[in-house]
Amino acid sequence: MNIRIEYTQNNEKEIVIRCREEDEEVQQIKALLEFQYQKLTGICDNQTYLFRPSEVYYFECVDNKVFAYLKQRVCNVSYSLEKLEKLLEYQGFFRCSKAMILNMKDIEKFQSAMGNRITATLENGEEVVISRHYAKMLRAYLKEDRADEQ
Amino acid sequence: MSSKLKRYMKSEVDVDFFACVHAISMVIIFGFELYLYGIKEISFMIIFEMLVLSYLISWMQKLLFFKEKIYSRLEFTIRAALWSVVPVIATAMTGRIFDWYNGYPEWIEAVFLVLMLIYYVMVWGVLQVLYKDDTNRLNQMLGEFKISKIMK
Repeated sequence: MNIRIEYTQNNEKEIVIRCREEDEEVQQIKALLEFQYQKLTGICDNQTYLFRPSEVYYFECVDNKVFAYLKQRVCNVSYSLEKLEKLLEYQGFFRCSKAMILNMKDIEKFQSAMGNRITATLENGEEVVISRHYAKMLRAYLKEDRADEQ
Repeated sequence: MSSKLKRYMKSEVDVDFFACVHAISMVIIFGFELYLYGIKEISFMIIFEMLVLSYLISWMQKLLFFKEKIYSRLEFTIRAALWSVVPVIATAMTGRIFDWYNGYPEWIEAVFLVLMLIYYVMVWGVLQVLYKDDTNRLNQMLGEFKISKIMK
């Protein structure tokens, strides 16, 4: 893949991806570029905040409301977990339970536990139990990433 | 199929595996001890009772860590101790109820229970080594994942 910069007289920057078809790699590049500038909105203490997904430790659905747990605050967001899962698919977020999406970049360590479960310790010290079902998917997700690299 | 039923079936497979391992170990330990004492046979009923007991022990061990939650260090230690001790108590009670040691000296029972305790502690130890190994592998994959995402 070639990366080329064309200089023009226009003030507005434009990114064009030339490809034969919109395959996974192209979607990944698109998502990465969008993610770089994308901000999510959430409500915290009756105020609306704009934040980047990378600032979020995890999203959790509680009583049909979705919350984003940021480094400093917790915001109520209007997106569904399904929408967030799709939106953040290539950004290192992983659906670790029915009610939670984890930012994998903020996981400090994993611990394998009884019953084929995994305990994830986040950088803020919080611990999250990943059930057997999702632990299996997590292993596949990490292996897949490893295979992509090779 | 409901998720509860699926979860039960997966647990049942785990339990069956451990039940078989426990039952085989129990029969071999008891049989070998009797063999050293000079007895070369164990009755079918004792083997059958050991198999049923192993199945119940395996479920009890499964239930000790069934909840999907973070166990505190103290709670984990207590449950780990129960994981090894309760099966020995259950074995002692079952042996007495079904008369496994009828006609043998008392030390046969004592040695058998001590060996069973060592066996359960060893199984627990082996499981912990396997989990530690898996933890290391997971953390290695996590490290590689993070590097790959930063590189991108």
